[in-house]
Amino acid sequence: MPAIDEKTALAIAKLARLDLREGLAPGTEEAELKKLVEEFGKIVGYMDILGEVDTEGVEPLYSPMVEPRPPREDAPFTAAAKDADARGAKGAPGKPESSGDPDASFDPDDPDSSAKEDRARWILDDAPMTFGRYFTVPKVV
Amino acid sequence: MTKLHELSLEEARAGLLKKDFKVLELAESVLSRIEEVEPKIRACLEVFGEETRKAAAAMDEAGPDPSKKLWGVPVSVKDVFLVKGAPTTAGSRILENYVPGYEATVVEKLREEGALIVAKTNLDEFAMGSSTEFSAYATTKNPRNLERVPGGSSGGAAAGVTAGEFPGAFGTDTGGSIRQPAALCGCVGLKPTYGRVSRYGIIAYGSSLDQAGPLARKVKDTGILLASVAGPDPRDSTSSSVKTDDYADLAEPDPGKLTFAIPKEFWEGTFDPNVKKVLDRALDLLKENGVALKPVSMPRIGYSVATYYVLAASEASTNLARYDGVRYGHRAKKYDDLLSLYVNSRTEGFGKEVKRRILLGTFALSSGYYDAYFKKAAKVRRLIREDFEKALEGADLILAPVSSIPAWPFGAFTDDPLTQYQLDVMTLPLNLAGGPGLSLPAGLGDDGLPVGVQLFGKPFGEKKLLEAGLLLEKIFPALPAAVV
Repeated sequence: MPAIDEKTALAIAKLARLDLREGLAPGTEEAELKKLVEEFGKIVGYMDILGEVDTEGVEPLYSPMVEPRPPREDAPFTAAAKDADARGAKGAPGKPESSGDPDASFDPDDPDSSAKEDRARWILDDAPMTFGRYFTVPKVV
Repeated sequence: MTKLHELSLEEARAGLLKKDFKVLELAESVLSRIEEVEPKIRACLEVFGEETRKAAAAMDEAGPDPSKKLWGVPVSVKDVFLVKGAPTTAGSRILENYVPGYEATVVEKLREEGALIVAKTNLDEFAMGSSTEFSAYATTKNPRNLERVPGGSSGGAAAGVTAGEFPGAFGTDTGGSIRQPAALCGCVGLKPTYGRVSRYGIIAYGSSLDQAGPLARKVKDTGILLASVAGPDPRDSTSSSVKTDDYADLAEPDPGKLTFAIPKEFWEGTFDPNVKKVLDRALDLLKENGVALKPVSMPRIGYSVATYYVLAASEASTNLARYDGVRYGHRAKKYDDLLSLYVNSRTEGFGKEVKRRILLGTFALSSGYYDAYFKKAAKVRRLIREDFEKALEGADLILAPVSSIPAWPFGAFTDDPLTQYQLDVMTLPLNLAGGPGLSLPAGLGDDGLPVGVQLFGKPFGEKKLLEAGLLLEKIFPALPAAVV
């Protein structure tokens, strides 16, 4: 099975959007990184015992659910309808929104629904940086 | 005289309905106990003092409502349950300023049943850990011995319940995070069947393994708590519509008609001598009382640590991809572009154990390794579930220890993740199989530290599990109240 070298570890970290070098003390950085990679390799190495198990013809089990529930109808919800539905009829599937415009669900300018406004406000309030009603990120293109 | 905070949940509820004392009196007793012991054990990340007093006074005004299962009862929730308007951190820096605008179904149902949410409890970051030492905010101490860990990841819930801070608590169990801290602190913890309790509004770790459940000082109390929250939820497609039983109405079974499977893979390992002594005594007591103990083998249990850590880490790496510094959570101050915004925010926000598991999961899911790790582990998972099904064929329940060692000193394993993972071998298999498990105290070791045992049942067999729990609670020596 694969030995985890520094190159592999750094490639995996990049996929995971993590920086392994961050926080390591300057001077001992390389030694600390080596230790991290070794520890990671040891953990991955332990997982190799799975190879001992004969799984010929065994189907993977990804979820222990006994009876799969039917998926919800593929139709947009409004936040308010979803809330009311979940609170009102327990166990019943939510009512699909008839107007069909998904953007309408989170329109804080809709004067009819204070629940919608409330939702839009707390979603934006939790964002580290916003501009008007939008999340902001550095320029991409 | 018994103080109100010392009452079991069942006693507290009965006293409230009979108007022996007011909701506010019970709440004040609980809040003053919290104030008294928190400086020593740090079980809570947030205490809702004012809200609790206000709600309690309003309930006294309205008068008792016997239709509500938890009328006036103070309960805590682990800090992975979203509580509207209250910071919910999952024990992580990355969610330091996160204030949810909606509530977990569990919290909503608790309120509907008349419970008072009195506190949010400490945990290992994102519920990843077995000692609560990986919380970014506080070190929770074991109320039986302040030099020792409370177990984890629901360490705050178990420590708080054991210390008398609240009569009931909710935690989550992905690989033993309810059952193991219950055993290490000396209280009762129930992991329901996967799908029995809604996961809506609970911060996800391993979505095919996570399940919310109660902790309390008495078996009966965990039944009442489960009865309050069990059932399908239209907002969680993995919640089950299998009929719920009345978990609050329990009858002690006839020990002569009970058979427990005793799997050698759980019982024949190496144990701390104090733990071993308590476990041997527990088996003797069961035999003396007429319970049949049937030796069985669950041959794939030895692979459950590797199976669990591959699958749980893979699910974690996927679930935690959402923390990117854009929509909520921590955003790094320094970044040059979108990629470095993600990398810096995540690197600053996550702690070392979380990063370790994200890396392992990313590796197991990455192209070239997927079949050998993720898919292979999922196949072994099916075989482990078969081991449970087979062991339960000729027995009512499976009996197993919870931990081979008692609560350990702080720092003993924080730099040795693999040893720490291997210590979880008794609790992880159940989550892979999906069934229910109940952890309860078997007695105190000569070192004064509690030792637990756990019962495993068939999927959705919580009632049978709890009823057998009542019997064990009667047979095993009762633990004294924790002196904090």
